[in-house]
Amino acid sequence: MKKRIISIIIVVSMIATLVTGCGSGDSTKNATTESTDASEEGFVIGFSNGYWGNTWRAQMVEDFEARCEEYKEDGIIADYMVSNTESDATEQLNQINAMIDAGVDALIIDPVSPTTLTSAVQSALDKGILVVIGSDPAAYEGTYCVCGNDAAFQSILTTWICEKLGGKGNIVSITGEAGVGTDILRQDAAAEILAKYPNIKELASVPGRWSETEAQSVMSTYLSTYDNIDGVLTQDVMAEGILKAFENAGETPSLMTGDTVKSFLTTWSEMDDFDSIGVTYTCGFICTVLDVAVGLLQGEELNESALVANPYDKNLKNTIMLDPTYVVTREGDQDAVWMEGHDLSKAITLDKALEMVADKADTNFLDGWLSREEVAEAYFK
Amino acid sequence: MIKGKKVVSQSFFPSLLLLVIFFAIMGVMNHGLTLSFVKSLILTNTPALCLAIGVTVTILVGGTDISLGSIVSLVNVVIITLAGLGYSITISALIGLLVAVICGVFNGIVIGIMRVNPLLTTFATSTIYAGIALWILPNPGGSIDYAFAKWYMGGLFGFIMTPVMLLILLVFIWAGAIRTPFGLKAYALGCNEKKAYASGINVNGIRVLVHTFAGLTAGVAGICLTATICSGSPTVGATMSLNSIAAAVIGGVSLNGGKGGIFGAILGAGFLSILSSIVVAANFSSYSQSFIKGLILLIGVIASILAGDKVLKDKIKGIFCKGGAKS
Repeated sequence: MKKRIISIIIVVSMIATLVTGCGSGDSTKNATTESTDASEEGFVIGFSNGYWGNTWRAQMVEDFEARCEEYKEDGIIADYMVSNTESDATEQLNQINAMIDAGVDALIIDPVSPTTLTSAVQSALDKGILVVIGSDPAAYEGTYCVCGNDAAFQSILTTWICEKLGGKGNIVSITGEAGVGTDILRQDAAAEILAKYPNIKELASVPGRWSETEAQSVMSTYLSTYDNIDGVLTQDVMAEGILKAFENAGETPSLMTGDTVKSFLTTWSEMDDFDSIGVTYTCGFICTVLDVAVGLLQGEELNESALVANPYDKNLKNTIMLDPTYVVTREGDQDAVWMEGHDLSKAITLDKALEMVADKADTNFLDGWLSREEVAEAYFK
Repeated sequence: MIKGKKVVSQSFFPSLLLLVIFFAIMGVMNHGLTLSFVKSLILTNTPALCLAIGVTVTILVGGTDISLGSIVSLVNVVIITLAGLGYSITISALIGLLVAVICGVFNGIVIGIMRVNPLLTTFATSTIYAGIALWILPNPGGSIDYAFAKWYMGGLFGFIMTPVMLLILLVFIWAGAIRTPFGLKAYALGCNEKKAYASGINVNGIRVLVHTFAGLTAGVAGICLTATICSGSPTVGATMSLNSIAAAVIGGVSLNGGKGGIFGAILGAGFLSILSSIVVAANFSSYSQSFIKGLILLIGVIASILAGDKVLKDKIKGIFCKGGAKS
């Protein structure tokens, strides 16, 4: 009997030493930060990331950590915590609660689902913790939301293709996924732009569900149905699947809205009679989310014009919409028609974009973010 | 001393020890556990605890149920949709509970009476229930009166919280049931179905009852979850099914059936919950979080199986004793 108790105690204490051993370096770091007074030794920032499993998200977390290190060197933040979950809403709540208990000053949350955070947000707000919903939107009273501007993203793409066609021609659309918030915002923007070009005819529009293979099969169907396609309006990763459909049909596309993943940029640069555009929906947005959170912690006030209605709650004016960081075209013309009204977006040439991703893996996205000065100027008083 | 011995020899003892130790580690890391942290932990994880109870009873009779997470999603969606149509919170919650019980009965009928393999059945029904949830509420959204959350966060006599009350209720129902001849029959069924059948035990009836009870636990879990998030999300329960099975195993429940009990499952689920928090509080790098969590989980499972398996333990003991003799 005694032996049994002893053996169990040994096993458990092994686990305990393992955990404390692994964590000791970090946990002492934690311990010091928890007791720090924010105003004297810097803030503690917690970032709860709701999905972790593709290149884009991994790149986002890297960007966040790099930016945090910059702030740490400047002594503005004392420490930061990052947690990831595979779309598990309960786990995300547990992680957020752990961060609240560890004494963070601000929580940045990329939600698993826009509606599952109520209890965690409430307990954070009760403790006076600043809550910024970042990257993907969600609407909660008392929080800020900083997210990518899907409408701007899509209207740049749509305007580009309409202008390149000289305001006249037939296009086919391959959209994201019906009913998904992001795509609803994007398709509304596209429809608004297309209405301005009455001689552009949209032959058909079908969802490709942001999947290369699905987009490829839709495009193959288009190619066998229509013989008068002048351009393809699509977004994100679907561009590469569409190119494959053209290749399989033995045709070459002339105009198509594209993507900013390195492999697509490379293919595009090798095709002479083909023109495209890439608009970034950067992982680097998270840096701006952090900049805004730090600014707010430092007591700075946001410009009233910076805040717009939340995409999920029109009555809640708590959202900063981030314009695309880069617009990649062959010419890189900042004064082009499609750049109008997007002052914070930088037009760059395809060659420049390729240079920027030169030492990255093929699956990496062209990444970039506003400098801290640009954020301060654009969004703070 | 006798009492102490009794606790140590229980199959749930390793999970109890794990839970206590991990609570202590969390306390050390955060310089003491705050009441609000423990409270949040309970509020957030009661759905997982309920599901662990539900899945355990199905495993005890030699089956399993991987559709409980989908039932939770469905209950969440039903409650939010009904509340949106103007029904009162109580009515919406009760209908949600009823839906869950119906799902459980359906599982039970297919498994018990049509005699389809439990894993296959619940795999299929999990897709069906998740599909219905997605059909009713395609996009996350909707809201329910905050009074629901207040009811959930509040409690009797000021300190016994509602989720704890609900858990105790489920435990009482099950504990009451196994004290009747039904309990003995259920364990007998879990140990050996053919012998149980030959002894005249109503195998079909027991399976139906057990899955109905599992449905009930998923219903309670759905109500708790809805009160936590105060909103609807058609995929919210998707990840919960597998976690609940892991919780049961850590709690000393044998996947072959007939061994273990719901207390172990509750402790196992509690351990899993605190594990998530610990990995965050320890501030591991993003890349190592999953690895470390998995590693601790594996050690936890091994520890609990070792403690329960006499043959394996004797073998290990043999190895150690031999080594000792040589030196």
